[in-house]
Amino acid sequence: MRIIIAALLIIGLFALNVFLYRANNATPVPEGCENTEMPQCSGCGIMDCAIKKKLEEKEREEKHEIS
Amino acid sequence: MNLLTLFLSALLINNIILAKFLGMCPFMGVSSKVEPAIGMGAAVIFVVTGASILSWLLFYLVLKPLGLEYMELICFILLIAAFVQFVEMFVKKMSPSLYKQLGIYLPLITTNCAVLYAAQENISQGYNFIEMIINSVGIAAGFMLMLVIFATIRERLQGNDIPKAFRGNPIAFIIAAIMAIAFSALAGLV
Repeated sequence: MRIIIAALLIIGLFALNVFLYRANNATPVPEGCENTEMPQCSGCGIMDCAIKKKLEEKEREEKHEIS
Repeated sequence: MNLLTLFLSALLINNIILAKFLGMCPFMGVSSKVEPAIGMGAAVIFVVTGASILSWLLFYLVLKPLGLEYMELICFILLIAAFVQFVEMFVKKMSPSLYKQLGIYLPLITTNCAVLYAAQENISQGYNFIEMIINSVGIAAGFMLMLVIFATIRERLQGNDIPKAFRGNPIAFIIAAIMAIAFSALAGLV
């Protein structure tokens, strides 16, 4: 009986994890915090808004210099 | 045990990083600048306290009455992972500004062994609810304190002329070792 309760507890916690993980992925991130796609690095899914902001500023400066 | 003594012990004497050598990965990884170190520390305080409360309740309300104490480790791991997912989702929805500050650190904290250590320490020491909260906050505050001090030192060193072989991680480990020696002097405080 105790083993059944233990198994149910583990399954319940695991199911909770899966549910919350899927709910978390389905929740939209605030504007400006989306993953940045860096062409030079396929493994870099940067979610840090501060880094993304700096990257955008750098791109704008480079475009400004070119023009 | 006196609550203040408990807090100071968790904060300084039995510091999670310098005495227990847990949570070293974020300690080395998020300590290049002071600002992200503060953000990481704040997130750790929140997650450690919340996870410790939930773990304590799970142990004393479910596992112990049912005689399932041996499942403590696996249950705590799953609970902590679920809690961090929930916190991230909650912060995303309710406070986008807070998410912009702390969002990147929340998934990192899931794998921080300091969270699991805090949860298990509270059980192994048999703390009551108040002692558990004080201990958890002390552990997390100690983590944040060391992280900020370390980040401050590393930021200061960036302007110095460090030999090429020591730049980056080597000098960081030397700094951490010197900090550990310095704080070991507090061992006899309580």
